[in-house]
Amino acid sequence: MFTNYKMAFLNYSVMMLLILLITMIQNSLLPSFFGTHIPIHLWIPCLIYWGLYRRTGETVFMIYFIALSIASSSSLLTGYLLTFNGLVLLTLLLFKRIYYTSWVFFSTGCALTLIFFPLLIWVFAQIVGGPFYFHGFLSELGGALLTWIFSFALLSLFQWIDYLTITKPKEHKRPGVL
Amino acid sequence: MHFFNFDIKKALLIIFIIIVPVFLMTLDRSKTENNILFRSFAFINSKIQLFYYSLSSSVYQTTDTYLNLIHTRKKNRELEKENTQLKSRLTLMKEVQQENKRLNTILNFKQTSRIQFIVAQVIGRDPVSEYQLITINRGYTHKIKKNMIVVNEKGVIGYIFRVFSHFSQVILLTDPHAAIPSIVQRSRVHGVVEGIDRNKCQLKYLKSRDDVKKGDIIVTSGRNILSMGGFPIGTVTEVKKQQHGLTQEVTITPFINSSQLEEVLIVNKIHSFQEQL
Repeated sequence: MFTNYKMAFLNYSVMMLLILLITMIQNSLLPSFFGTHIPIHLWIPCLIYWGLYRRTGETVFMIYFIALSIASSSSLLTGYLLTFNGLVLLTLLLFKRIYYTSWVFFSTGCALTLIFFPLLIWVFAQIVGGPFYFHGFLSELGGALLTWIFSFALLSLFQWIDYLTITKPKEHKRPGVL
Repeated sequence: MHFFNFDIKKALLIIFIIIVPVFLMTLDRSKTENNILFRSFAFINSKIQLFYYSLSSSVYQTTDTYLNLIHTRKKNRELEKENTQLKSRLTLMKEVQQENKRLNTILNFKQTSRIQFIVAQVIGRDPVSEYQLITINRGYTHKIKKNMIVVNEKGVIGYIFRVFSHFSQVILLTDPHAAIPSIVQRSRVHGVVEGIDRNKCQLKYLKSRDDVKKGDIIVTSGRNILSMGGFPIGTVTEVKKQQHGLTQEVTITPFINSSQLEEVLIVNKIHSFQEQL
Protein backbone atom coordinates (compact mmCIF):
# COMPACT_ATOMS: atom_id res chain seq x y z
CA MET A 1 0.00 0.00 0.00
CA PHE A 2 2.73 2.47 0.90
CA THR A 3 5.39 3.26 -1.66
CA ASN A 4 8.01 4.32 0.86
CA TYR A 5 8.46 4.90 4.57
CA LYS A 6 8.63 8.69 4.27
CA MET A 7 5.21 8.75 2.65
CA ALA A 8 3.85 6.32 5.21
CA PHE A 9 5.11 8.55 8.04
CA LEU A 10 3.64 11.62 6.37
CA ASN A 11 0.32 9.87 5.81
CA TYR A 12 0.10 8.70 9.42
CA SER A 13 1.11 12.11 10.82
CA VAL A 14 -1.42 14.00 8.72
CA MET A 15 -4.17 11.47 9.44
CA MET A 16 -3.57 11.52 13.20
CA LEU A 17 -3.51 15.31 13.30
CA LEU A 18 -6.67 15.44 11.21
CA ILE A 19 -8.45 12.94 13.44
CA LEU A 20 -7.52 14.98 16.51
CA LEU A 21 -8.82 18.14 14.85
CA ILE A 22 -12.02 16.38 13.78
CA THR A 23 -12.72 14.82 17.18
CA MET A 24 -12.15 18.13 18.94
CA ILE A 25 -14.18 20.27 16.50
CA GLN A 26 -17.34 18.41 17.50
CA ASN A 27 -17.07 19.55 21.11
CA SER A 28 -15.59 23.04 20.68
CA LEU A 29 -16.90 24.64 17.52
CA LEU A 30 -19.91 22.63 16.37
CA PRO A 31 -22.01 23.22 19.55
CA SER A 32 -21.99 26.93 18.60
CA PHE A 33 -23.84 26.04 15.38
CA PHE A 34 -25.96 23.03 16.29
CA GLY A 35 -26.32 23.40 20.06
CA THR A 36 -25.27 20.89 22.68
CA HIS A 37 -28.38 18.72 22.47
CA ILE A 38 -27.52 17.10 19.15
CA PRO A 39 -24.90 14.37 19.56
CA ILE A 40 -22.49 14.54 16.62
CA HIS A 41 -19.86 11.78 16.55
CA LEU A 42 -17.36 12.76 13.87
CA TRP A 43 -14.84 10.19 15.07
CA ILE A 44 -17.09 7.36 13.84
CA PRO A 45 -16.56 8.07 10.10
CA CYS A 46 -12.78 8.18 10.83
CA LEU A 47 -13.03 4.76 12.44
CA ILE A 48 -15.09 3.32 9.57
CA TYR A 49 -12.66 4.70 6.98
CA TRP A 50 -9.69 3.03 8.63
CA GLY A 51 -11.66 -0.15 9.15
CA LEU A 52 -12.61 -0.37 5.49
CA TYR A 53 -9.57 0.92 3.64
CA ARG A 54 -6.63 -0.03 5.84
CA ARG A 55 -5.11 -3.27 7.00
CA THR A 56 -6.37 -4.73 10.28
CA GLY A 57 -3.15 -3.94 12.18
CA GLU A 58 -3.31 -0.31 11.12
CA THR A 59 -6.96 -0.10 12.16
CA VAL A 60 -6.16 -1.54 15.60
CA PHE A 61 -3.57 1.20 16.04
CA MET A 62 -6.13 3.83 15.04
CA ILE A 63 -8.75 2.31 17.37
CA TYR A 64 -6.43 2.92 20.30
CA PHE A 65 -5.52 6.38 19.04
CA ILE A 66 -9.17 7.46 18.69
CA ALA A 67 -10.18 5.92 22.03
CA LEU A 68 -7.36 7.67 23.91
CA SER A 69 -8.03 10.94 22.15
CA ILE A 70 -11.71 10.94 23.10
CA ALA A 71 -11.41 9.44 26.58
CA SER A 72 -8.85 12.08 27.61
CA SER A 73 -11.50 14.79 27.15
CA SER A 74 -14.48 12.77 28.32
CA SER A 75 -15.83 11.17 31.47
CA LEU A 76 -16.41 7.99 29.46
CA LEU A 77 -14.01 5.18 30.39
CA THR A 78 -11.27 4.25 27.89
CA GLY A 79 -12.21 0.58 28.17
CA TYR A 80 -15.79 1.32 27.00
CA LEU A 81 -14.58 3.13 23.91
CA LEU A 82 -11.97 0.51 23.08
CA THR A 83 -14.52 -2.30 23.38
CA PHE A 84 -16.96 -0.40 21.18
CA ASN A 85 -14.29 0.34 18.56
CA GLY A 86 -13.13 -3.28 18.68
CA LEU A 87 -16.66 -4.53 18.06
CA VAL A 88 -17.01 -2.12 15.13
CA LEU A 89 -13.78 -3.47 13.65
CA LEU A 90 -14.92 -7.08 14.07
CA THR A 91 -18.21 -6.27 12.34
CA LEU A 92 -16.38 -4.50 9.52
CA LEU A 93 -14.09 -7.50 9.05
CA LEU A 94 -17.15 -9.70 8.63
CA PHE A 95 -18.91 -7.27 6.29
CA LYS A 96 -15.80 -6.90 4.13
CA ARG A 97 -16.62 -10.34 2.77
CA ILE A 98 -19.71 -8.95 1.05
CA TYR A 99 -17.99 -5.78 -0.06
CA TYR A 100 -19.62 -3.76 -2.84
CA THR A 101 -19.74 -0.12 -4.08
CA SER A 102 -17.47 1.62 -1.62
CA TRP A 103 -19.21 4.90 -0.74
CA VAL A 104 -22.51 3.11 -0.22
CA PHE A 105 -20.75 0.67 2.06
CA PHE A 106 -18.96 3.49 3.89
CA SER A 107 -22.14 5.49 4.47
CA THR A 108 -24.10 2.38 5.50
CA GLY A 109 -21.31 1.49 7.95
CA CYS A 110 -21.40 5.00 9.40
CA ALA A 111 -25.18 5.03 9.74
CA LEU A 112 -25.31 1.61 11.40
CA THR A 113 -22.47 2.44 13.81
CA LEU A 114 -24.18 5.71 14.75
CA ILE A 115 -27.40 3.89 15.50
CA PHE A 116 -25.64 1.18 17.50
CA PHE A 117 -23.39 3.50 19.51
CA PRO A 118 -25.99 4.59 22.14
CA LEU A 119 -27.42 1.07 22.12
CA LEU A 120 -24.07 -0.49 22.90
CA ILE A 121 -23.28 2.06 25.61
CA TRP A 122 -26.62 1.06 27.15
CA VAL A 123 -25.66 -2.64 26.95
CA PHE A 124 -22.30 -1.89 28.64
CA ALA A 125 -24.14 0.05 31.34
CA GLN A 126 -26.39 -2.96 31.97
CA ILE A 127 -23.52 -5.47 32.06
CA VAL A 128 -20.86 -3.50 33.91
CA GLY A 129 -23.34 -1.49 35.97
CA GLY A 130 -22.18 1.91 34.77
CA PRO A 131 -24.35 4.93 34.07
CA PHE A 132 -26.20 5.60 30.82
CA TYR A 133 -27.62 8.78 29.39
CA PHE A 134 -29.95 8.93 26.37
CA HIS A 135 -30.52 12.24 24.58
CA GLY A 136 -33.95 11.36 23.31
CA PHE A 137 -34.96 9.74 20.05
CA LEU A 138 -35.16 12.92 17.93
CA SER A 139 -31.83 14.31 19.17
CA GLU A 140 -30.06 11.00 18.54
CA LEU A 141 -31.61 10.79 15.08
CA GLY A 142 -30.64 14.40 14.28
CA GLY A 143 -27.08 13.79 15.48
CA ALA A 144 -26.79 10.59 13.45
CA LEU A 145 -28.13 12.34 10.35
CA LEU A 146 -25.71 15.26 10.69
CA THR A 147 -22.75 12.93 11.25
CA TRP A 148 -23.83 10.88 8.25
CA ILE A 149 -23.92 14.05 6.09
CA PHE A 150 -20.50 15.13 7.38
CA SER A 151 -19.13 11.65 6.70
CA PHE A 152 -19.27 12.24 2.92
CA ALA A 153 -17.03 15.32 3.25
CA LEU A 154 -14.71 13.37 5.54
CA LEU A 155 -14.53 10.47 3.08
CA SER A 156 -13.47 12.85 0.30
CA LEU A 157 -10.92 14.50 2.59
CA PHE A 158 -9.36 11.20 3.66
CA GLN A 159 -9.25 9.95 0.08
CA TRP A 160 -7.57 13.18 -0.97
CA ILE A 161 -4.91 12.83 1.72
CA ASP A 162 -4.34 9.20 0.75
CA TYR A 163 -4.10 10.25 -2.89
CA LEU A 164 -1.48 12.90 -2.07
CA THR A 165 0.55 10.51 0.04
CA ILE A 166 0.15 7.72 -2.53
CA THR A 167 -1.86 5.34 -0.42
CA LYS A 168 -4.97 5.21 -2.54
CA PRO A 169 -7.99 3.34 -1.17
CA LYS A 170 -8.53 0.09 -3.05
CA GLU A 171 -11.70 1.12 -4.90
CA HIS A 172 -10.95 4.71 -5.90
CA LYS A 173 -8.73 5.95 -8.64
CA ARG A 174 -9.45 9.65 -8.27
CA PRO A 175 -9.87 11.69 -5.10
CA GLY A 176 -13.21 13.15 -4.12
CA VAL A 177 -15.22 10.70 -6.19
CA LEU A 178 -17.90 9.04 -4.13
CA MET B 1 -7.56 -22.11 6.12
CA HIS B 2 -9.79 -23.21 8.93
CA PHE B 3 -10.90 -20.45 11.32
CA PHE B 4 -9.77 -22.33 14.40
CA ASN B 5 -6.23 -22.93 13.09
CA PHE B 6 -3.67 -21.12 15.21
CA ASP B 7 -2.57 -17.92 13.61
CA ILE B 8 -0.40 -15.35 15.40
CA LYS B 9 -2.20 -12.47 13.64
CA LYS B 10 -5.60 -13.70 14.79
CA ALA B 11 -4.30 -14.17 18.33
CA LEU B 12 -2.90 -10.63 18.43
CA LEU B 13 -6.14 -9.25 17.01
CA ILE B 14 -8.18 -10.99 19.71
CA ILE B 15 -5.78 -9.76 22.41
CA PHE B 16 -5.82 -6.14 21.27
CA ILE B 17 -9.48 -5.70 20.42
CA ILE B 18 -11.18 -7.96 22.93
CA ILE B 19 -8.99 -8.94 25.88
CA VAL B 20 -7.18 -5.62 26.52
CA PRO B 21 -10.35 -3.44 26.27
CA VAL B 22 -12.37 -5.77 28.50
CA PHE B 23 -9.50 -5.85 31.01
CA LEU B 24 -9.32 -2.03 30.94
CA MET B 25 -13.07 -1.86 31.62
CA THR B 26 -12.60 -3.72 34.86
CA LEU B 27 -9.78 -1.47 36.07
CA ASP B 28 -10.20 1.52 38.32
CA ARG B 29 -10.27 4.88 36.51
CA SER B 30 -7.15 6.19 38.31
CA LYS B 31 -5.09 3.24 37.07
CA THR B 32 -5.87 3.86 33.41
CA GLU B 33 -5.83 7.65 33.45
CA ASN B 34 -2.79 8.61 35.52
CA ASN B 35 -0.23 7.88 32.86
CA ILE B 36 1.84 10.11 30.62
CA LEU B 37 0.14 8.93 27.41
CA PHE B 38 -3.34 9.81 28.64
CA ARG B 39 -2.17 13.19 29.99
CA SER B 40 -0.34 13.97 26.72
CA PHE B 41 -3.52 13.35 24.77
CA ALA B 42 -5.44 15.58 27.17
CA PHE B 43 -2.81 18.30 26.77
CA ILE B 44 -2.90 18.22 22.95
CA ASN B 45 -6.70 18.15 22.96
CA SER B 46 -6.88 21.17 25.25
CA LYS B 47 -4.61 23.14 22.90
CA ILE B 48 -6.85 22.26 19.95
CA GLN B 49 -9.95 23.18 21.97
CA LEU B 50 -8.34 26.48 22.95
CA PHE B 51 -7.63 27.21 19.28
CA TYR B 52 -11.24 26.49 18.31
CA TYR B 53 -12.48 28.50 21.28
CA SER B 54 -10.42 31.57 20.32
CA LEU B 55 -11.59 31.20 16.72
CA SER B 56 -15.28 31.01 17.64
CA SER B 57 -15.07 33.70 20.32
CA SER B 58 -13.32 36.15 17.97
CA VAL B 59 -16.04 35.63 15.34
CA TYR B 60 -18.70 35.96 18.03
CA GLN B 61 -17.12 39.12 19.46
CA THR B 62 -16.82 40.79 16.04
CA THR B 63 -20.47 40.10 15.27
CA ASP B 64 -21.48 41.14 18.74
CA THR B 65 -19.51 44.40 18.57
CA TYR B 66 -21.10 45.33 15.26
CA LEU B 67 -24.60 44.62 16.53
CA ASN B 68 -23.93 46.52 19.73
CA LEU B 69 -22.77 49.64 17.91
CA ILE B 70 -26.29 50.21 16.61
CA HIS B 71 -27.69 50.73 20.09
CA THR B 72 -24.62 52.26 21.73
CA ARG B 73 -25.63 55.95 21.72
CA LYS B 74 -29.04 55.30 23.21
CA LYS B 75 -27.66 52.98 25.83
CA ASN B 76 -24.85 55.38 26.69
CA ARG B 77 -27.30 58.10 27.76
CA GLU B 78 -29.24 55.65 29.89
CA LEU B 79 -26.06 54.34 31.49
CA GLU B 80 -24.77 57.83 32.29
CA LYS B 81 -28.00 58.51 34.13
CA GLU B 82 -27.78 55.20 35.98
CA ASN B 83 -24.13 55.81 36.79
CA THR B 84 -24.88 59.09 38.55
CA GLN B 85 -27.53 57.36 40.66
CA LEU B 86 -25.20 54.46 41.50
CA LYS B 87 -22.36 56.77 42.51
CA SER B 88 -24.52 58.46 45.08
CA ARG B 89 -25.68 55.05 46.35
CA LEU B 90 -22.09 53.81 46.53
CA THR B 91 -21.09 56.68 48.79
CA LEU B 92 -23.94 55.75 51.07
CA MET B 93 -22.97 52.04 50.97
CA LYS B 94 -19.37 52.80 51.91
CA GLU B 95 -20.63 54.52 55.02
CA VAL B 96 -22.79 51.49 55.88
CA GLN B 97 -19.87 49.12 55.26
CA GLN B 98 -17.59 51.07 57.57
CA GLU B 99 -20.24 51.04 60.25
CA ASN B 100 -20.79 47.30 59.74
CA LYS B 101 -17.07 46.57 60.13
CA ARG B 102 -16.88 48.56 63.35
CA LEU B 103 -19.92 46.81 64.80
CA ASN B 104 -18.67 43.35 63.81
CA THR B 105 -15.32 43.97 65.48
CA ILE B 106 -17.09 45.06 68.64
CA LEU B 107 -19.31 41.94 68.62
CA ASN B 108 -16.35 39.66 67.77
CA PHE B 109 -18.43 38.20 64.94
CA LYS B 110 -16.71 35.08 63.57
CA GLN B 111 -19.40 33.39 61.52
CA THR B 112 -19.53 35.74 58.56
CA SER B 113 -17.42 34.51 55.71
CA ARG B 114 -16.44 35.59 52.25
CA ILE B 115 -15.73 33.25 49.39
CA GLN B 116 -12.80 33.61 47.04
CA PHE B 117 -13.47 32.50 43.49
CA ILE B 118 -11.27 31.76 40.50
CA VAL B 119 -12.97 32.77 37.26
CA ALA B 120 -12.56 30.44 34.26
CA GLN B 121 -13.91 30.14 30.75
CA VAL B 122 -15.33 27.00 29.18
CA ILE B 123 -13.15 26.07 26.18
CA GLY B 124 -14.50 22.64 25.32
CA ARG B 125 -17.14 20.03 25.95
CA ASP B 126 -17.28 16.27 26.13
CA PRO B 127 -16.68 14.70 22.68
CA VAL B 128 -19.14 11.94 23.57
CA SER B 129 -22.26 13.98 24.13
CA GLU B 130 -23.91 11.24 26.20
CA TYR B 131 -21.49 12.36 28.94
CA GLN B 132 -20.90 15.80 30.33
CA LEU B 133 -17.39 16.94 30.99
CA ILE B 134 -16.28 20.49 30.26
CA THR B 135 -12.77 21.82 29.82
CA ILE B 136 -11.88 25.16 31.44
CA ASN B 137 -8.85 27.38 30.88
CA ARG B 138 -7.48 27.21 34.44
CA GLY B 139 -5.12 24.57 35.82
CA TYR B 140 -2.86 23.91 38.76
CA THR B 141 -0.74 26.95 37.86
CA HIS B 142 -3.87 28.93 38.81
CA LYS B 143 -4.13 27.05 42.13
CA ILE B 144 -6.84 24.68 40.92
CA LYS B 145 -7.03 21.40 42.78
CA LYS B 146 -8.96 18.19 42.22
CA ASN B 147 -12.51 18.09 43.67
CA MET B 148 -12.89 21.87 44.05
CA ILE B 149 -16.52 22.93 43.63
CA VAL B 150 -17.40 24.80 40.44
CA VAL B 151 -20.39 27.15 40.54
CA ASN B 152 -22.05 30.00 38.69
CA GLU B 153 -24.53 32.63 39.83
CA LYS B 154 -27.37 30.05 39.82
CA GLY B 155 -25.74 27.25 41.78
CA VAL B 156 -23.39 24.26 41.64
CA ILE B 157 -22.17 23.24 38.20
CA GLY B 158 -19.97 20.32 39.21
CA TYR B 159 -16.49 19.71 40.51
CA ILE B 160 -12.91 19.54 39.24
CA PHE B 161 -12.37 16.07 37.80
CA ARG B 162 -8.87 16.20 36.26
CA VAL B 163 -6.27 18.94 36.70
CA PHE B 164 -3.48 19.79 34.27
CA SER B 165 -0.97 22.65 34.18
CA HIS B 166 -3.03 25.28 32.31
CA PHE B 167 -6.45 23.70 32.06
CA SER B 168 -8.81 21.45 33.99
CA GLN B 169 -11.77 19.23 33.31
CA VAL B 170 -14.99 19.73 35.25
CA ILE B 171 -17.52 16.93 35.60
CA LEU B 172 -21.01 18.45 35.59
CA LEU B 173 -23.45 17.38 38.28
CA THR B 174 -25.73 16.13 35.49
CA ASP B 175 -23.08 13.67 34.22
CA PRO B 176 -23.94 10.05 35.00
CA HIS B 177 -20.50 9.58 36.63
CA ALA B 178 -20.80 12.60 38.96
CA ALA B 179 -21.53 12.15 42.67
CA ILE B 180 -21.89 15.08 45.08
CA PRO B 181 -22.54 14.64 48.82
CA SER B 182 -25.65 16.72 49.51
CA ILE B 183 -28.22 17.61 52.09
CA VAL B 184 -31.89 18.57 52.06
CA GLN B 185 -31.83 22.18 53.26
CA ARG B 186 -35.08 22.00 55.24
CA SER B 187 -34.83 18.62 56.99
CA ARG B 188 -30.97 18.21 56.98
CA VAL B 189 -31.25 14.70 55.52
CA HIS B 190 -28.03 13.52 53.84
CA GLY B 191 -27.74 11.86 50.43
CA VAL B 192 -25.65 11.81 47.26
CA VAL B 193 -26.65 13.67 44.10
CA GLU B 194 -25.95 11.77 40.87
CA GLY B 195 -26.63 12.83 37.29
CA ILE B 196 -29.34 11.28 35.12
CA ASP B 197 -29.47 13.54 32.07
CA ARG B 198 -28.95 17.20 31.11
CA ASN B 199 -32.00 18.39 33.04
CA LYS B 200 -32.28 15.86 35.84
CA CYS B 201 -30.35 14.48 38.79
CA GLN B 202 -31.28 12.08 41.54
CA LEU B 203 -30.72 12.17 45.26
CA LYS B 204 -29.64 8.68 46.23
CA TYR B 205 -29.12 6.64 49.40
CA LEU B 206 -32.09 8.05 51.30
CA LYS B 207 -34.10 5.87 53.65
CA SER B 208 -37.82 5.51 52.95
CA ARG B 209 -38.71 7.36 56.15
CA ASP B 210 -36.37 10.33 55.49
CA ASP B 211 -38.20 13.65 55.28
CA VAL B 212 -38.07 14.91 51.66
CA LYS B 213 -40.88 16.83 49.93
CA LYS B 214 -41.48 18.20 46.48
CA GLY B 215 -40.05 21.73 46.31
CA ASP B 216 -37.26 21.13 48.85
CA ILE B 217 -33.92 22.73 48.05
CA ILE B 218 -30.84 20.51 47.92
CA VAL B 219 -27.46 21.98 48.84
CA THR B 220 -23.93 20.57 49.06
CA SER B 221 -23.26 18.98 52.44
CA GLY B 222 -19.52 19.65 52.52
CA ARG B 223 -18.78 16.04 53.43
CA ASN B 224 -16.16 13.75 51.93
CA ILE B 225 -14.39 14.88 48.79
CA LEU B 226 -16.19 18.18 48.38
CA SER B 227 -15.25 20.09 51.47
CA MET B 228 -17.46 23.16 51.07
CA GLY B 229 -21.12 22.97 51.98
CA GLY B 230 -24.17 25.13 51.46
CA PHE B 231 -24.01 25.70 47.71
CA PRO B 232 -27.42 25.26 46.04
CA ILE B 233 -27.79 22.30 43.67
CA GLY B 234 -31.45 22.16 42.69
CA THR B 235 -35.08 21.65 43.67
CA VAL B 236 -36.83 18.36 44.37
CA THR B 237 -39.38 17.76 41.59
CA GLU B 238 -40.47 14.20 42.29
CA VAL B 239 -40.47 11.84 45.27
CA LYS B 240 -41.33 8.17 44.77
CA LYS B 241 -41.73 6.07 47.88
CA GLN B 242 -42.08 2.33 47.49
CA GLN B 243 -44.62 0.73 49.78
CA HIS B 244 -42.31 -1.95 51.16
CA GLY B 245 -38.98 -0.59 49.98
CA LEU B 246 -36.09 0.57 52.11
CA THR B 247 -35.22 3.58 49.99
CA GLN B 248 -36.98 6.31 48.02
CA GLU B 249 -36.38 7.79 44.58
CA VAL B 250 -35.89 11.55 44.61
CA THR B 251 -35.58 13.45 41.34
CA ILE B 252 -33.98 16.90 41.31
CA THR B 253 -34.05 19.64 38.71
CA PRO B 254 -30.71 21.45 38.91
CA PHE B 255 -30.58 25.26 39.05
CA ILE B 256 -27.99 25.40 36.28
CA ASN B 257 -28.50 24.92 32.55
CA SER B 258 -25.63 22.68 31.49
CA SER B 259 -25.90 23.59 27.82
CA GLN B 260 -25.43 27.32 28.38
CA LEU B 261 -22.19 27.45 30.31
CA GLU B 262 -19.59 30.00 29.21
CA GLU B 263 -17.95 31.34 32.38
CA VAL B 264 -17.67 29.44 35.63
CA LEU B 265 -16.40 30.17 39.14
CA ILE B 266 -14.18 27.78 41.05
CA VAL B 267 -14.56 28.01 44.81
CA ASN B 268 -11.03 28.51 46.03
CA LYS B 269 -11.18 29.52 49.66
CA ILE B 270 -13.61 30.73 52.26
CA HIS B 271 -12.12 33.57 54.30
CA SER B 272 -13.53 34.23 57.70
CA PHE B 273 -14.54 37.79 58.42
CA GLN B 274 -11.68 38.06 60.92
CA GLU B 275 -9.17 37.23 58.15
CA GLN B 276 -10.69 39.94 56.00
CA LEU B 277 -10.12 42.50 58.72
